[in-house]
Amino acid sequence: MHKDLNRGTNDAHSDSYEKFEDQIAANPDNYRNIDIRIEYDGPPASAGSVNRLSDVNPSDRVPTQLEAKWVDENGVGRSRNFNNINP
Amino acid sequence: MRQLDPDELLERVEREFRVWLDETGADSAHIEVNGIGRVQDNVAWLMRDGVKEWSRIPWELGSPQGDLRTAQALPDRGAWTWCRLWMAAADGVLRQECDWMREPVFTQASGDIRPGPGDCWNELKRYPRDDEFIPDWLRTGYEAELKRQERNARRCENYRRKREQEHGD
Repeated sequence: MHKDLNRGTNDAHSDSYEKFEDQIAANPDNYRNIDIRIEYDGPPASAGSVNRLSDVNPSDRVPTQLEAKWVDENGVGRSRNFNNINP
Repeated sequence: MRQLDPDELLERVEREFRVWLDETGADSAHIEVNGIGRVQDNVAWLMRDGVKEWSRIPWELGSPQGDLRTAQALPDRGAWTWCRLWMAAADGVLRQECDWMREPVFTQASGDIRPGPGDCWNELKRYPRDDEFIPDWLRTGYEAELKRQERNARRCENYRRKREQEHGD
């Protein structure tokens, strides 16, 4: 995960996934039916020949986007996208 | 290579909006997006006989729609911070309205989330803007983060110098 998505320092970074996790932990009733999809830029180069995740090239294991969906306390469906592409 | 051509993305978003409307039988579908730095917050709803129904964005739509902000960034005004996408079943045409100056706010019951200094810094690093297109809220956040980084750099330098003296280098 890109370091920007992993910051939780106060309110300096509302755009971090870490902060999102903190928000859910602090107000679990406001985040129900959580559904998260992690996207990659296609299958790994070695897809046809590997049997274990650890054999996959590390750079092929980096997601491009994380998308989280949930239902808030008012029954409204919400979603948030986190861009993990470098830079 | 990840496809980030804005026109192709928009076509894909338009196709998926049509699928969404077909599957739900709604009169119109709407998505409102607030974005800053690396994150976007979306709310979606359908209209059926004049009644608003909150809805989930289908996964196949959420994926290209999530890339729009980056793909549509412009060299002088950066990326839009607010956008509304909608389509009426009657004409199947995707419409989009964007705002580059609006402060993006993620509204929620536990308290609205406004961009912090780190977000403003990330925003201008990823999607630079000409001076005239930097609204006050973005400039203030960016400058606060800049000051913080400069303070940290000075602190690191002082510490390094002190260690050098102590070790008699």
